[in-house]
Amino acid sequence: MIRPARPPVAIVGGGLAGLVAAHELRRRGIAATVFEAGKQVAGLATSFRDADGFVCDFGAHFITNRLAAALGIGAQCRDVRHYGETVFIGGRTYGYPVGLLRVPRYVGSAAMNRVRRWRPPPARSAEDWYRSNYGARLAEEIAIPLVEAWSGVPAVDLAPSVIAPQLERGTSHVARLKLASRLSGRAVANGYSREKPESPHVWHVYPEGSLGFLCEHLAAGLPGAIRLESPVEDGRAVGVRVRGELHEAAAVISTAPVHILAKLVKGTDRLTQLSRFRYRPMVLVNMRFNGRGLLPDVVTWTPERDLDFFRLTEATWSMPWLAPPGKTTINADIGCAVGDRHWTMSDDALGELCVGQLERVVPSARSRYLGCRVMRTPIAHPVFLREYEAERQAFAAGTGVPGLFSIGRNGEFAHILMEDVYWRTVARMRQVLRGDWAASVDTALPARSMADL
Amino acid sequence: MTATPTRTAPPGALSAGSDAASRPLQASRAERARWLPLVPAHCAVCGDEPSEPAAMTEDFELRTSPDSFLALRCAGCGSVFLSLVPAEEALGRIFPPGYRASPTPPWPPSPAGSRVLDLGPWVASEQLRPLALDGEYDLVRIDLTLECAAHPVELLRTVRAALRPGGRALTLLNNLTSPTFALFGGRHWGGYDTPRQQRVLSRDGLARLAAAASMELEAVTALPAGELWLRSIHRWCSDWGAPGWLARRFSDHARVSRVLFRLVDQLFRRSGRSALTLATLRRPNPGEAP
Repeated sequence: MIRPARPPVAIVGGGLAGLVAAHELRRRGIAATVFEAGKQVAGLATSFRDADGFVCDFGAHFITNRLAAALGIGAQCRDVRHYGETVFIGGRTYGYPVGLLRVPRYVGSAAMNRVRRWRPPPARSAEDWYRSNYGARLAEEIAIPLVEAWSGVPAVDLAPSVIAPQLERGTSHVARLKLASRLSGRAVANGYSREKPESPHVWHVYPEGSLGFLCEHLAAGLPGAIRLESPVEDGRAVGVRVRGELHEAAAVISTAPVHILAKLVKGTDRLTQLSRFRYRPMVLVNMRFNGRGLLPDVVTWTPERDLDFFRLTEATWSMPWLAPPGKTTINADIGCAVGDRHWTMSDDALGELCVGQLERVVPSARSRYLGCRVMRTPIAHPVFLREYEAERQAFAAGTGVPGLFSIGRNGEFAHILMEDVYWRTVARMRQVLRGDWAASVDTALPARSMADL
Repeated sequence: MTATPTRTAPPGALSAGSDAASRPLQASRAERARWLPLVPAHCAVCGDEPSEPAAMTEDFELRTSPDSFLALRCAGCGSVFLSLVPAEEALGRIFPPGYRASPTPPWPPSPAGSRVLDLGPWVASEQLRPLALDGEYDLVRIDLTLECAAHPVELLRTVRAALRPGGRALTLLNNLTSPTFALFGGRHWGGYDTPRQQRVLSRDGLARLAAAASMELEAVTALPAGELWLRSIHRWCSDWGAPGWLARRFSDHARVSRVLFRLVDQLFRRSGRSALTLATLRRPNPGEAP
């Protein structure tokens, strides 16, 4: 256990993971200080509220009632009644996943593939996995274009671990949850809980007002423990340096992206390999329109390669209160690179670009268009390249530096959603409380790196 | 838990919830005031042991608050407990004035001439302290109290002090090995009386609790209880918007259904999996190991 005489645990980053970590430690009597570089907490779980009544998250977010109850804000959340996904391809829209099963060329291709290779060998890449599991047609027309737009690299260079676990679940499980959703009148979470079992009793909710309430609530329970505008300049397992001043720490818990963590930590080269890890930057164009229900469902995937965006989300299908009555928002996700054409394009130009392309899905889009808000993030999600997959798996077990923990979606370099962030952070804090840091070193690094230490 | 239907408000008090789209963006001040102050909790038996999500529950019948609660299952003893519980200042609200044990729980007859103390429902150990309880009683019947108490070990120690050496305490537990829990334990189980009852003790959990209070778990007997079936199904119907006529088939007043499900539950008695269990705790005699 950490002795009370030790200085507080330093937590780098005031997003969901950092704040949950602080709560978990403090409820067990361990002092913790959160250093947040920005002027407010929440990180990517923040929300923007405009004077004209539109509420906009950093990309469309959905949380579960289980996360809300775990944080103690169940009463402050509203039930989401509906959630559904479609795929737009060749001028037509197909429900996902059931609608795609009605397309003979996809079903035929998948069946032929299964007949030819009843037990396919383990996939070497994401492309392999899609071809083996979906058949060539579905893989080439939908799955591979989407994962490439999402990650920015060819699917053949991606590790199979990029495949979301929900795609590996049985169809009976998915059908059971969809039936529960229909019967209960709630948007039962389907593929949004990877750490804990899904159930008909776990559904989507959304905080009163906006998503940002989650972190505001957590921050309110940590009086005096959060230091805003405190960018960490370097981190050692013994403390963190903030604006030139060293703060001693019993342990350091980072939520920073791992390639940045590698630069922050001084005095060891154990994290050097993390500087190769890549995140996908994203431009999120939040367009406002007159009307409601413009897209066929909440999420529409757009795998056609001549479209700049790969996903459209009309959040008001699920959360009608996010836009004034009679109006709606459509969020277009564009994968990009920092400094490229999309990254540097003006907000108005991005809006025009997206509205123009959106007309394929929503013919009346231009006449309804009211303007847009654009958000850019250099770290939308991690890219699981095959070239560092071994290091990534090793990093998942621990940082390899005693007393240094890396948590959260960016800090773990993992494809995890908000409830998963909570459960994984809770579990990781048990490790911090046990103080068994030396043990985590032994399992954390690949063999060749251990030899170099 | 011993939440027989007659011990909470009738299922008619269920509300269907409000229409999300028609609600204002921000809750009103009055609505905010209704949120319960919540504090974190651990397994009362094992402390801060790892646990897994078991259920999403709420106050289905009494609707004393709009909160939803996450119930966790302790990896140590198998008991189910709420991850967040109402703070002490909210206890008066979640136990409304009408909340009382009625009629008498199905206790077995006590031996003639024995001194019997009935505790519960919801008796805090602090309330027991002023009473003269030193070894006076042959039998203490604990009703809906171990499940609600903030410190059940302390409460059980008080019970032990009230018993003469060799005296016994009885308590009713909702059965975590029953088919009702297997079917409805994720949310609608009639054995949950959230947020008044903070936990449902497993047999192992009760045994450990007894040991911590220097008592022994002498016996656990299965008791059939059709009411738990009815309540579970009624909650499910109401929560998922089933027609009223269907929900009424499973209300407390549906005598036919109650008899039918009592017979069903009787089938599980032999294997110890009926909805209720009666646990007997014993204060060891001097020199006897607990």
